[in-house]
Amino acid sequence: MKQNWTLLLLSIFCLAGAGQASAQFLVPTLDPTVPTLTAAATGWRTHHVMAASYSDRTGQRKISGVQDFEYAGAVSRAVLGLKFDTTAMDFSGVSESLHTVPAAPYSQPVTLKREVSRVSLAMLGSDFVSLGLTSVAEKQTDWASIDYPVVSSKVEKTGGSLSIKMGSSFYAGGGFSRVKESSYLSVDNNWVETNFGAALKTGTPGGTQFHMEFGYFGSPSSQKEAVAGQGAAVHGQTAVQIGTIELDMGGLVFTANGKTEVVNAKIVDLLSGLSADSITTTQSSGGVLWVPQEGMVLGFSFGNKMVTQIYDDSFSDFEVKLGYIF
Amino acid sequence: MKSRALLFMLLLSWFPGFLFGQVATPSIDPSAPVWLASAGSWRFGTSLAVGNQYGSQETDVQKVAAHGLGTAGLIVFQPSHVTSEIYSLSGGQRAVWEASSDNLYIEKKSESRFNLSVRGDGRVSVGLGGISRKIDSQNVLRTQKGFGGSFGFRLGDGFYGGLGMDRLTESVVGEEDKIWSDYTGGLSLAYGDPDSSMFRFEVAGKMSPLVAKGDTFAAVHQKKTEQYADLELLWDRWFFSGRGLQTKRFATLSGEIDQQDTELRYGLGYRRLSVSLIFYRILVDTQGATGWYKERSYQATVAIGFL
Repeated sequence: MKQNWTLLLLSIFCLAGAGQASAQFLVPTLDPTVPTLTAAATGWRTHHVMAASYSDRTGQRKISGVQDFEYAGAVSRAVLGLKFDTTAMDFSGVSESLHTVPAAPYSQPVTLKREVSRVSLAMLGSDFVSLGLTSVAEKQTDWASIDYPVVSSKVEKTGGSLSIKMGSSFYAGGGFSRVKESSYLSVDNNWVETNFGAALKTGTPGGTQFHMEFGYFGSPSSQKEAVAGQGAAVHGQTAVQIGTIELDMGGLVFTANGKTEVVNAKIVDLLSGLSADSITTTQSSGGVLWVPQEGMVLGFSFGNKMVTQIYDDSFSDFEVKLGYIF
Repeated sequence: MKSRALLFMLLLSWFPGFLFGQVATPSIDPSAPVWLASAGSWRFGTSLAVGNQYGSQETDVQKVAAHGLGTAGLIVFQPSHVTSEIYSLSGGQRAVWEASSDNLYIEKKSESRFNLSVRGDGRVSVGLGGISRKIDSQNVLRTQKGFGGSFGFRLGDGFYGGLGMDRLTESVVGEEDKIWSDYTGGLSLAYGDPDSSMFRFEVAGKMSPLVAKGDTFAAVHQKKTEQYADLELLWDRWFFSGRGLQTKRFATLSGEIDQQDTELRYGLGYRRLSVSLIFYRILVDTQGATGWYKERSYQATVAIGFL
C-alpha cells in the first residue's frame, strides 16, 4: 500500500501542474479567456475582461497497451481581469471533474476532481516593468484503491514574478513560488519552484498582432519522512516547458499551445510489477476566437493531453469560450 | 476570381447527393435554422418564423396516411454584429423505414437549438451553439445534448465557407452514455439583395461517427453521412429553390445493410424583408435490396422580419 501512496502522491503533483497549456509567464495571451500563469503577465493587460469557458473531456487509460477504462468529464474556467492605471488584478477559477469511477478492485490512482483558484496582483512601472504577486490554491480528489476511494489533497502556492519589456516588443523575466502540499495520507511537504521565460509580442490591437512565448518552470525533489499515522511525502524533480504561438488578424485570433512536463521519480507497482522512471505529461491545444478591442469574445479550441508512466492516460478536449472585454 | 469560385462550386455539386443547407450561409428563407452557428452572422436582421410539414409515407408493403410531420419555430435576434438564434422542432411523429427489415418504425422527435455568433469586420464569423434532442424509436428513448463551435469566412463579394464541430452525448436508460463529435463543413455563393433579387448556392457535408457500446439497437449510435446542394433564387421578391439531400446510414448490427436516402425539395414563395410566405414540396425515395420507401410531403413557412 505504501508504494501505491507514493505513486498517488507523485501523480497528484503531476496532474496538479497539468491544467493549462498556454504560456503566459510574461504577457497575457491574445485569448483573454485564459487565466494568466504569473502576476507579472497580468500587469500587461490593457482592458478589463470577464470570461468563462466549458470543455467536454473524454479519454482512456491503457496499461501495457490494453485499455482499462474510458474517461468522461468536463472542465470549466472563469476569469475576471481588472486593469487600472498602473495596477492590474486577475481572479480565476478552474474546475475539472471526471465522471469515471474505477471498478472496485482497481489499484491505480485516478484523479476524480480538481479545483484551482488563483489571485494575482501586479504593478506596472513606466511601461517598462511589471511586478506581481500570485496566490494559488489547488484541491484535488483522487481514487487510490478500494480501501481509499476518495483521497483529498491540497497544494498552495505563493510567489512573485517580474516581467521586463525590452524595446517595443520583446519581454523577459521570471519568478519563484513557495509550494506547500498536504494530504491526509502523508506528512506535509514543501519546496520552491522557479520559472523564467521570453516572449515576443508585436503589432497593435485592432490590426495584426503576433505573440510567441516560451517558458520554463521547475522544482527540485523534496522528500519528508513518515511519522506515526502518516506516510512519507515525495515530490519528484520537475521540469516544465511551455510554449505559445498566436496570431491576431484584425480581431480573428488563432492560437496554438504546447506543454511538456517531466517528473523524475522511480515508480514501482508491487501488485503488477510494472515500473517507470518518470511521469511525462504532454499537452497541445489550438483554437480560433473573435476578440474585438471591446465587446463580446467568442471562440472554441481543441486540446489533447497524454500522461505516461506505468499506465498511459490520454484525453481529448473540445472547449467553447465566451467573454466580454470592457 | 468569381468565375473560378463558381466553377469550383459547380464541380462540387456534381458529386452525388449533397444535403439541406445552412452551413456556410443562411437560407434566403428566414424560417430555416442555420446548422452551424457561424452562418447566423450572415443573416439579414431580426425575425420570427414558424413552419409546418404534412405528408404521407409508403413502402412496398405498408402505407401511412397523410399526417403532421412536425412544427418548427425560429427566433433570430440580430441587433448588431452579434446574432443569437433559438430554434425548436416539436410535435413530429413519422414512420422511419429500415431497409434491412423492410419495416416502418414510428419515431417521435423533438429538438431545440441555441446559437450565438459574432461577425468580425464583415469577413469572418465565430459561433457557439447548444443542442438538445429527444428521439423515441423502437421503444428506445435517446436523449442527446451537446454544444458546438464553428468558424465562417467571406472572400470577395459573395464566396463563403463554414466549418464546425458539435460534441454530443447520448443517454439511454440502462445503457452507458455515448459521446461523439459531428463534423460539418460547407461552401456557398451568395449575391444580391434579400429585399429584391438574390442568388444563393451552397454545398455542404456532415459526418457523424459510429459509437458502439454494445451490440443492441439502444447501445449503438450509427455512422451517418449527409451531403447536400441547395440552390435558391429570389427574383423581384419571388422565391424559387431546389435542394438535393443524400443521407447514408452505415450498417452496424448483425443483419443490417447500408441505407441511402435521397430527398429532393422544391420551393416557391414570396419574400421581402418584412414578411415571407414560402411553400415546399418534398420527395424522398429510397431503394433497398428487397423493397422501397417513398415519402411525399408539403411544408409551409411564414416569417416576419424586423430589420
